[in-house]
Amino acid sequence: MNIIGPDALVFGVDDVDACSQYLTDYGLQPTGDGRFEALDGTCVIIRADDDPRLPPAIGPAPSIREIVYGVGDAAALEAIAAELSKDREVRRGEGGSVHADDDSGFHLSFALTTRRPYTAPADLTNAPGHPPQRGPNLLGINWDMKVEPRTLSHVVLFVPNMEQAEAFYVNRLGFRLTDKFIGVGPFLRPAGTEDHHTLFLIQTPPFMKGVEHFTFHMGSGTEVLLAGTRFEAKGYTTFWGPGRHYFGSNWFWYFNSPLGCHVEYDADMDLHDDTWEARHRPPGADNSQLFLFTAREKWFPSGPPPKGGAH
Amino acid sequence: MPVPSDIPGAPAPGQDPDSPRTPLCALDTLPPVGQARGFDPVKSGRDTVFALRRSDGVRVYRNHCPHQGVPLEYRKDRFLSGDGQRILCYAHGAHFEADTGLCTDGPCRGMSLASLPLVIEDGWLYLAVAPDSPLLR
Ligand code: FES
Ligand SMILES: [Fe+2]
Repeated sequence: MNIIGPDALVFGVDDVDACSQYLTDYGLQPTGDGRFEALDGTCVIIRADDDPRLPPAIGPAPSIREIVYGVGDAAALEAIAAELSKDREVRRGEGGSVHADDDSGFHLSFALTTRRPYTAPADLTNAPGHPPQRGPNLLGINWDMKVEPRTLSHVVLFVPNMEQAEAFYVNRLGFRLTDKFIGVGPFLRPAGTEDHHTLFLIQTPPFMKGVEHFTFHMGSGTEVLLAGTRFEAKGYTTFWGPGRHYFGSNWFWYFNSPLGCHVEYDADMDLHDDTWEARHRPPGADNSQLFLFTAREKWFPSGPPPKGGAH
Repeated sequence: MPVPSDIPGAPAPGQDPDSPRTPLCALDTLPPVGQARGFDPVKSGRDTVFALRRSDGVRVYRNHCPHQGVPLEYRKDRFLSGDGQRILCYAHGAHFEADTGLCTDGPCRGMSLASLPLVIEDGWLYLAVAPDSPLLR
């Protein structure tokens, strides 16, 4: 089934203004009616939690209300509708869109992808031993360089039963397992993309069910660092990062958010095809981050502030 | 041990070991009910406590979620729900009663934020905690 990945994430929130400000500061473009878009048109949609257009909530606001998957062709839509109709209620909407719940109770919809073609520059590297990518007088960075989220990368769900949740996406929707944290959860890739994962599932107690985080791809590790630094300078709170993951090789920087989940910047994720064999590893810092920097607001030429306060 | 404080006009705290004091702010600079403010009273590099007004007085809590021990706010001073009536941890969405710090929903349900003892004197809000207390780091 030619599912490309999430095209939109729809949230019901208690503070629409705070979320709108947040997503704009994060770097998405407000395009009206609660929609905040990346360069390719993938987006986050913010609505008041009592908005009648929203599917029912699975937890207190703010929370995820719908995950919209973009599919590559109309045949895939029909195949998804036929497959899911076997054991659950499926509703058809505008343009043939398919609406159903996954096995954990998350509301999904599938529609022809709205991703637009776009071009954006790569971060060129001069590595000794390799032909230079930036010739003489081409600068790698400058103060006012633009860094914009390019495309919706992945969403991470807390689920009460990860085996059941994984089986649904693999057996019913044709996702493939790329890697797995033993006892914690699988990284999953739908058939329409080579990205290491567009979905990661984490086993948690049932009352935590919801989105753990989502992220958009930035152009490079440099862009993750620059966007995160600017975001932090606006007063936003780092949760984890910046660093680089082991599974997927992607750079990461996670922030707290008023959407009820973390929001990440990521970049430079591995690509895989069907010849890849999934790695199974225990979770833990060694396997989740190759390296980690801790952002520090204050830094003194003589070294970090003394431990234990002033004396 | 002098208290590191850059609050203009703050009275010298004077450390009496029996009644430790760490100054936070002039009381009239605290925002109204429905908003909160973070403080970094010992210059640790981030806001380690936050204060809010309630109808019956001021509360100060340690900015340290009982779930994973991380800061709660998503942005400078944004510790409360949209309606200003609850404290939220913006890491995984735990909800806390503003009056008591008790977690009523989320991964640390039943646990509480550390509420810090405070003293109000001559219009100043102090924590009744020594500046070298680990609670302030
Ligand atoms: S750290 Fe606060 S809810 Fe998880
Ligand atoms: Fe991620």
